[in-house]
Amino acid sequence: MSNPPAGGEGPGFGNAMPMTTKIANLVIAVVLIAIAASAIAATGDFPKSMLAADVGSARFPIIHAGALIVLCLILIANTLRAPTAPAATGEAPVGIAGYAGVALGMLATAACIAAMEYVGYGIATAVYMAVIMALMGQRNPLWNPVLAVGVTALVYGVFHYALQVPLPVGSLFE
Amino acid sequence: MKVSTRLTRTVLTAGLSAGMLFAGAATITGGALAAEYPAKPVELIVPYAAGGGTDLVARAFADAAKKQLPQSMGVVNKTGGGGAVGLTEIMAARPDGYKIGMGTVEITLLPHMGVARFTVDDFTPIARLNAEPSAITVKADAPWKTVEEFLEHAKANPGKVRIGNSGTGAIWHLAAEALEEKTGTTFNHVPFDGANPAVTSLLGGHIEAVSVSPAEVSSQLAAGQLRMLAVMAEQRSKTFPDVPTLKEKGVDLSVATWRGIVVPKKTPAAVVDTLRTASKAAAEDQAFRDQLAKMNLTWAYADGPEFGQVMQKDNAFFKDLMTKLGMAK
Amino acid sequence: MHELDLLMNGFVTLASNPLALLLALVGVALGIFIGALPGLTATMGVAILLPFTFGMDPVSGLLMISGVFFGGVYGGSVTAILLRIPGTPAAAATAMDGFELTRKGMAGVALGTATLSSFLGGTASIIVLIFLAPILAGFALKFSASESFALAVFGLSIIASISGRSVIKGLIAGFLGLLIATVGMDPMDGFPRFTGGYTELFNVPFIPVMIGLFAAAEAFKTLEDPKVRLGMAAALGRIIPEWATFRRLLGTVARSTGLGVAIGIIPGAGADIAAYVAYNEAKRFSKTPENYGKGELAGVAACESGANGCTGGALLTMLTLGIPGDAVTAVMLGALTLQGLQPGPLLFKEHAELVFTLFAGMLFCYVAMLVIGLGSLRFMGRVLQMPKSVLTPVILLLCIVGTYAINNSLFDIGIMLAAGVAGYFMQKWDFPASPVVLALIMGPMAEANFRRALSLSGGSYDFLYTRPITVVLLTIAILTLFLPLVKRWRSHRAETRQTGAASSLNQA
Repeated sequence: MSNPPAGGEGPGFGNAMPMTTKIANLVIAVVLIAIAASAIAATGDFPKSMLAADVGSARFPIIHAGALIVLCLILIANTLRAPTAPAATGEAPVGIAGYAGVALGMLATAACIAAMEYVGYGIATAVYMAVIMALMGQRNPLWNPVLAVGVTALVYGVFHYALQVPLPVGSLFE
Repeated sequence: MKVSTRLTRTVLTAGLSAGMLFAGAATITGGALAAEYPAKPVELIVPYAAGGGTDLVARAFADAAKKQLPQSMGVVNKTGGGGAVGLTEIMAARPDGYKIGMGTVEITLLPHMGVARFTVDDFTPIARLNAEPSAITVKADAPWKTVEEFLEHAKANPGKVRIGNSGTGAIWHLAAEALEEKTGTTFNHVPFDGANPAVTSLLGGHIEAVSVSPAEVSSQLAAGQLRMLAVMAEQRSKTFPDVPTLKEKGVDLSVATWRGIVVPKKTPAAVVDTLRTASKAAAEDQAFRDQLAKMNLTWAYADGPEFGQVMQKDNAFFKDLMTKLGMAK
Repeated sequence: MHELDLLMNGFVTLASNPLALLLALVGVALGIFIGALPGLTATMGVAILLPFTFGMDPVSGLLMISGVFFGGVYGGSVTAILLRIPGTPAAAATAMDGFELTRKGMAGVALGTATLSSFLGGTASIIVLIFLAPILAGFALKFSASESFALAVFGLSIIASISGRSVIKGLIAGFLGLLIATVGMDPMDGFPRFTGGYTELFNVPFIPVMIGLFAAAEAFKTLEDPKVRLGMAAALGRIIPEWATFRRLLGTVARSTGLGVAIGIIPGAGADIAAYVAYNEAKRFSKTPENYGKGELAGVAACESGANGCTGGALLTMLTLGIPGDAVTAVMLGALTLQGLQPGPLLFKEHAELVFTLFAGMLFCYVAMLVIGLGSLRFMGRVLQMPKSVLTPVILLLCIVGTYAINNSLFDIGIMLAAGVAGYFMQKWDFPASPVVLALIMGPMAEANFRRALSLSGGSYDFLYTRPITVVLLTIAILTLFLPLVKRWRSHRAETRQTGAASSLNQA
């Protein structure tokens, strides 16, 4: 999916990985093990099946979660065994500003969803569009709001009128 | 690069002006204050997916209701949770008559299973539009010619007769369970993801019978691939007058699904009356009746109070049955 | 041939009904549009159109609906290739290689190949429907729960081949998807699992997760680098592939179409499964399987011809048995009955003329799709020339509104966002997203059918090895899962002997 880190495919570096990847692998594996374990724990409350010949609703989640735990343990073992490679050089590092942009984008999306419940589709989306465009560098004081409102209205028209999907009105205006 | 950016902007601006018109128009209609009901379009919530049986009834009804109300009626599908999501939405809607719902028999089933926040008393019935009985259908080459033979075979082989339904806890499953209870037989209930897969499985000979409605097997019946042994209704079906009712065969059981218009409990009486009058006229519109007939659905209009009695009766019946089965929570 | 005569008559009847042709054209265009938008599916388009067809003559109404159906299956590929927004679940498979091609600046050829493959797959499947319908109809009935279970397991085994560089990470993603797929109403008991009391979680929110993992994750990624924010997205390039290039894809297209038709006939299996299976088989038979996932044109061709091949198969079971194989054909079944036509074995006898007019119209729909598709690609490709600072917000907005449209639910948008955030980090650390989507499609199918089969057999596990189709499918599944592992292990041994270093099998 993403670009391979430098040297990742070379025969000599076979399984070497940079420190950041190692840490990420370990963190992700531990988080997933925790999720799987709590899923298994939650199946304890599942009722027995009403059907005579059924294995019950807990069986499949337990199998999936168990396999997930085993695979995560393998990932942890592989990661710990692998030698540490020098930090990747092929790809430019993202940097604090980049991550901040991503985080702000995600927060803005969450805020937009929360706001939509109260102020409705129109206001929430127009503001959201303006914010994301500003984040992306489109900060022209004329074009930014015009585009934000325009696209919002266009999407409203297409969905509400052409496709008959009613968009949220917002509880404040209902 | 610059030229194309400008081009995009021009396109967007053109779209913008069109969009503004749309949005403007919407604010005017939405903002108008209600002097007399209905002053703005009415939303009809359907708790099932677009294109399904309930949805088709709702869309046909909304079409017919247009002629009876000064405002249009728009269908909104709120799916999920076997109907629980949409029904909860209807129950929790502001009781002003602008959000009405398509209620189904699940109103009387889901509360007992502990998966719903509503009960049957949270709704005011407006009009029942359609009702479908359960029916016992087997393959055309099955050894049983009558429902007696079928039940006898089931009694002799407890747990061996596999009867397909549209999902555990769904109406057709309960119909088969009720039959089991009334006749002292034991079936092997096999849940499918809806009525269609169950019928497919019956055609392939993987199960012995299904308990779904006549409409759901009508094309296979017409083709002579399946045989309907009995319907669980008070009267014989008009479409299949040769099929006896269970009552005729000495089993006092009638189980049916129904679909009808409901509103939240606290809706003002004036609004309820307006809706009842409009619904009656819409339901009796010949176009609406024709459309139901084309879909093999049974027209079964009942006015609010009568509809309410059906709801209460079913609620008591299913509560009792599900408690016996250990499904109630 | 009898069928051929009827078909020719159908074309003649159709030619005298220009309104039907026009409506078919409108249907195809609308279908492509709906399919391209995330969250809106062909099912929804067909349901919206249904009331409008009430007043039309049967041929016009049904052709318009067929047009939406065909266009909707194809339309998903456009946004999947250009923007990594899978408009439909099947297009999530197309996105794997399609979007990589766009990154390489080959968006045009990818779109052209997708269009041609869709056209060929769809047309071939309609021809199969016309000439072999009665013969193939029985195939659908052979499929019981155990066969469907085996098919789902086969589908899941594909995870190994779409895992990208690390099989372990692919499997982790797959099993995470399987675990997520168990959220919601238990398929047999109706017991709500892991829902925390939210009725919204009773059904696995599959499409929101898919939109989040693919489209939103990609959009978040573009927020990362301030330098590209104002840049143009990518070039389009030529659209119609060179004959020399496309000729090499014809084998893949033929195989994928065959698979698509077969899977379409099976009740409960649709275009999404067909696309993934076709992709997997294309990779299996390819001389350069290592290129898959990095922008292989044959991957796009396989997914699209497989998905569109499904249309004929799904129509076949619906028309001959009166059994809809998926949600779209279920709505079409309703449309047919509304027109006073009862699908089932009698349809071909009693209404042969009308049925073959419809078939002729369906072939016309696919031609229309090819023309509209190729004609509009250049225009749709413009999207790539929008500055990213406008394109990314628009993509995010479409993700939000499209997700909302599925169930009219704000809750689903929240799920989409959560999946988008997770997808962003998965992409960052090389966990592929496709296995999650595949697991969400196949997981519920596998579980429900395994337990249903067990219920049908009265608790005996015999069905795993006594039913021929089940045995064959399960065997292929095992081979699919383990052959790549064995291959990697062997190349690893050879490599170790040469260099003495550890190999890629261990690479996590």
